[in-house]
Amino acid sequence: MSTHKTVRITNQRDQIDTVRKFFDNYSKENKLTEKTVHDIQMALDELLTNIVNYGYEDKDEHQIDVHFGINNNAVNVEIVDDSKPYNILEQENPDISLSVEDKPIGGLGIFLIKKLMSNVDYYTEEGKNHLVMTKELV
Amino acid sequence: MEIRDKKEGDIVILEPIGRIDTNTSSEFENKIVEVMDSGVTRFVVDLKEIDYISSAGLRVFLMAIKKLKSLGGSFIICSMSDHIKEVFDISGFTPIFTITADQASGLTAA
Repeated sequence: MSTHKTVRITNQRDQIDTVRKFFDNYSKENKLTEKTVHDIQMALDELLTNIVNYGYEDKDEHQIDVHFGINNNAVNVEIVDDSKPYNILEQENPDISLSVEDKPIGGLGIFLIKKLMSNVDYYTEEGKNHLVMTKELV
Repeated sequence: MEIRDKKEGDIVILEPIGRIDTNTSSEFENKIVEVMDSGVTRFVVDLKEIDYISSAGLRVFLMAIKKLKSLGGSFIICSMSDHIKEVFDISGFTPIFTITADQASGLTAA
């Protein structure tokens, strides 16, 4: 049985939950561990929120595809969308050693994804963003 | 999201249920602000029924500790899963919060 599955949503905030539920079922079918599911759910929430909230300058409906697959002992997640190109890999990491008074509110989402995933890649192709994440199964 | 709350002396115990993410973080924030506005400065937040906390949720925790620190209050977090603990570690949040194993030890620390 192929482990490749895709869920297509539109750029509405409530659709993020559709992806969450879809991946919940996917993780049960493929017997993923609680840790793997936790980390991927977090990454999906962060990334899809960014795309839906900040990715579009018009008010039109846009499609976002999320592909899931398992091979070489890793889960691969790919988000394909036509929002403004934004390479998260270029975002500077926050200084996490700051004291409570000096810590800025926010700026942790992308950093957490980079730390929790085994690998993150980004490229654009034919006007679309491809964000590819790999989480090794342990 | 559902957030259970109870009072133990002048300490308020909050038990949020489910996920503290983009969709629910504002409800969690409103709840904390509402309790703070009633004059409470000592909190124990029990995470035993929380699956995950996204960065939107982390903002609320940071906002709360900043506010309570300036008021001389306390904000204790207890019953954290290993996954959430790792998120706190990565974010540099572990040293700025008092984190306890369970609610009873959280109440002692508050």
